[in-house]
Amino acid sequence: MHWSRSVPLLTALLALGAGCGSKVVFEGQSGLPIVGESISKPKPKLTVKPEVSRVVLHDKNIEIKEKIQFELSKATILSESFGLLDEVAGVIKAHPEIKKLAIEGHASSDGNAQQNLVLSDARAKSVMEYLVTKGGVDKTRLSAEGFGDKKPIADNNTEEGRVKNRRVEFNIVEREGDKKPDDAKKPGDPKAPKK
Amino acid sequence: MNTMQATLVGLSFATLLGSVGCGGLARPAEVYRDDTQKLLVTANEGITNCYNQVLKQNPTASGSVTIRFVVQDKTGKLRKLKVDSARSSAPEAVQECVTKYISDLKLEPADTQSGIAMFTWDFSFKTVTPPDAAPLPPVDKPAT
Repeated sequence: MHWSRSVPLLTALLALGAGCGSKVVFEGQSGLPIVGESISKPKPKLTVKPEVSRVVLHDKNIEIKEKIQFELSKATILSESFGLLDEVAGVIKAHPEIKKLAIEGHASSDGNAQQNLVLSDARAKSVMEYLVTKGGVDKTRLSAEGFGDKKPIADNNTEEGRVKNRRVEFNIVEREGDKKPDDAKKPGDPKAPKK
Repeated sequence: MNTMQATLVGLSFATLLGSVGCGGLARPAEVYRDDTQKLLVTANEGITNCYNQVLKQNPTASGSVTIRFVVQDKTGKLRKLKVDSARSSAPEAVQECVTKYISDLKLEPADTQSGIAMFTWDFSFKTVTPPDAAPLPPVDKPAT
């Protein structure tokens, strides 16, 4: 084949092969805007009523109506949750009959299970640390443990479910007046209460 | 065969080769970026719905999410998605909205080159008053 005929063919082949296997690095020029809708809470009426509490005491637990916010993949509590935890501390201190409160950290099934376990444990302990140091709660009344994704309360296959599963719970382990397991002593036990 | 005919034959042969092996579209970086951005925008509706769900739990959730990923050559699939936490300020749940809804995207036609990409989403919200929240009545000034 004459060179003048082969040149166009070779040129085309080179053009086709130029990008094969190579990499192109690029970056979005500006942020992609996503605008959501946040439902505002109704404004209080003129008659002054106490605000609806974000923290509710039940028989078995203290329920929080908002999520405690942490730094991504860390146990550091974000400042926006300080108010919520202050309310939790207030409830605990206002109810001395709560003798033992278990702070439980839970995660969704996203990510590595072992890391979720470690992180949920660290977050539970971080909450306990806050309640003791900033909230003034007696440390002996509290315990903290993480359970990772072992105790889901919602479907991990949906985003909504995973959001629910990422949580911190405050479960009442012992109240004043509760019977302790070791109260029922054997008859020969010298420590058993006399009848 | 004259030069024109040779060129046509050559291009035809190249086109044939392009349909097999590693031949195909090789975008310049700017075009690759713009095509990828158009693809990402198609996920906005899902991301927004997901974000609205997050706002119900956390009414002030906002900030930015920067994701690094690779547009796989030949398939166009987005792979190796990773949140750049140093550049991201939105809560974790918001970050997951992005990764969840872009992970199934596919650039078409695929490129012969891998695209090493970084994009940022800016999340903000407008406050909506529920319809049953009546406006406050005017306050009467006390008699002086």
